[in-house]
Amino acid sequence: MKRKLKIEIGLAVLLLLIALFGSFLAPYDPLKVNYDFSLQPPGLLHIFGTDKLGRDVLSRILCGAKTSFGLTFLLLFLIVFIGMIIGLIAGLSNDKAESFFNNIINGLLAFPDTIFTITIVGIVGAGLFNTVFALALIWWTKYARLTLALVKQEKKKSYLVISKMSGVPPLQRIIRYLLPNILSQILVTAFLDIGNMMISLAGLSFLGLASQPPQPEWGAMLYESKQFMQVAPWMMFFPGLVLFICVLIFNLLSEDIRDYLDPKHYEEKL
Amino acid sequence: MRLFEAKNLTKKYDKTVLDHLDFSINEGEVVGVIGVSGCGKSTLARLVSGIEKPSSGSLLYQGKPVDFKKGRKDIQLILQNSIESFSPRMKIRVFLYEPYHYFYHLHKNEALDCIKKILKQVGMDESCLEKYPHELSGGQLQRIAIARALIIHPRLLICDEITSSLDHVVQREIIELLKKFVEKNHISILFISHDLSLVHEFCHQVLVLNNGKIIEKGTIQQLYKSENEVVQNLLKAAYLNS
Repeated sequence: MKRKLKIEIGLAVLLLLIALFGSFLAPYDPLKVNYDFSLQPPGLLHIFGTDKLGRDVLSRILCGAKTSFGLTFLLLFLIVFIGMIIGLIAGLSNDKAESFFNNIINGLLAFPDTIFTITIVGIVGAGLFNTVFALALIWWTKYARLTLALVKQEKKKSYLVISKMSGVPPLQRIIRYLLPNILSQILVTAFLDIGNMMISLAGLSFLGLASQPPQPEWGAMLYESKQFMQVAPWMMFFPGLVLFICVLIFNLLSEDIRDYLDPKHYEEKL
Repeated sequence: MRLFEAKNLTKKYDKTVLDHLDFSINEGEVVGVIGVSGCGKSTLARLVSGIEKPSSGSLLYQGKPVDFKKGRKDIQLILQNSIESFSPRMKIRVFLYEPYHYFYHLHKNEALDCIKKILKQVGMDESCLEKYPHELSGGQLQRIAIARALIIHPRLLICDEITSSLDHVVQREIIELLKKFVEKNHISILFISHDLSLVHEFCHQVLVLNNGKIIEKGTIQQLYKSENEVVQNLLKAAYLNS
């Protein structure tokens, strides 16, 4: 395994550990209001400064990581899982079923996703899980379409015919032959989407639709900081920087994972 | 004794690809199918191997309609594009173990001894077992594909243009290998090719396909006497190839 990939995996694991144990690492209670320390710039007591209510920005970032990562991975799992199942069913069915699923996918893709999410959240109410649910409702289509295209491409390949000739049962052919050959591309896309999802969830929190105060979440922190951009830029800078670093790490990781999963690189790994 | 028979075999997609084919294959017989690209040779291979169903007509194995679910063991297929016949993420060891596992329910260690024997028979050594398909050449992969089919002990082996992507030396080696197995194991072969120079070497009977129809049928000597223009063209191409 390349050194660069090892470093990227190490950084991603570190981020996940911070997300899991951030509340233990936080120097202050992220919800504790202290007007005496309102809008304090970064210093020895508060490394990332404080917000308008005197809450420690670093503590809020550390505690908000769990929400930001948790929601991102929940959303990712939902859309990849639903998309793959529907894509597999559509790709392995007959032409009529494939066309039926294709029409549903195309119909949903015709909606602008942000408007669709805002509409759904408007109906079911603002909140973290409602936003994840609304995003999952529209974003699974991307993975269903990708899976469908990959299945159609792999279906033509002779190794599936030969596996049938070797007596491999249909379900085993899907699990042991088809899935390993399509999974790497789906995983790479999923890794690339981690960054996009974090930004989208942060964007919806920024609009006040996802995370609700006083819950710390990176997007919500950016939303709260917009009115203090001139007088307390650290309120926006640090959550923005952390978000940027996370997106960057997962984007770099996705590129190297794609190379790593390419069968032509197997000998390099052995 | 008659092993396999096709009666009025027809396959239609948007247009008719195979049109009322009648032919038979006897035990231990090698039947060649030749024709230009697009004449329906590969479709015929897919129908005879049970990968696709015919639009009409019947396929008989030992006088009875073929049951591909039960009789998968008896009819095996080797395809033209050797690299595509292997899952890119599967080692050769796993690829060759599959038929032992699903047809004979053998344990990995028991199967490994048999795999080594069959590899020796096709001129490969066991070092290839831990390799991935892209690490082997087209000729090596085709030998392994033959080994996989032979593991199952088929009665009828369908070879769909198996030498088309190989150079002349490797083509000869593969043909010699098949000849050896026909003599030793008394298996029947449906050898599909566009190259008459390969077919005439070891086929007892040749079918010439054109536009989905059998336009000529007989021994290679009978084909040489044919006045059909398509057959004449194939003969000329074979002469140039050889």
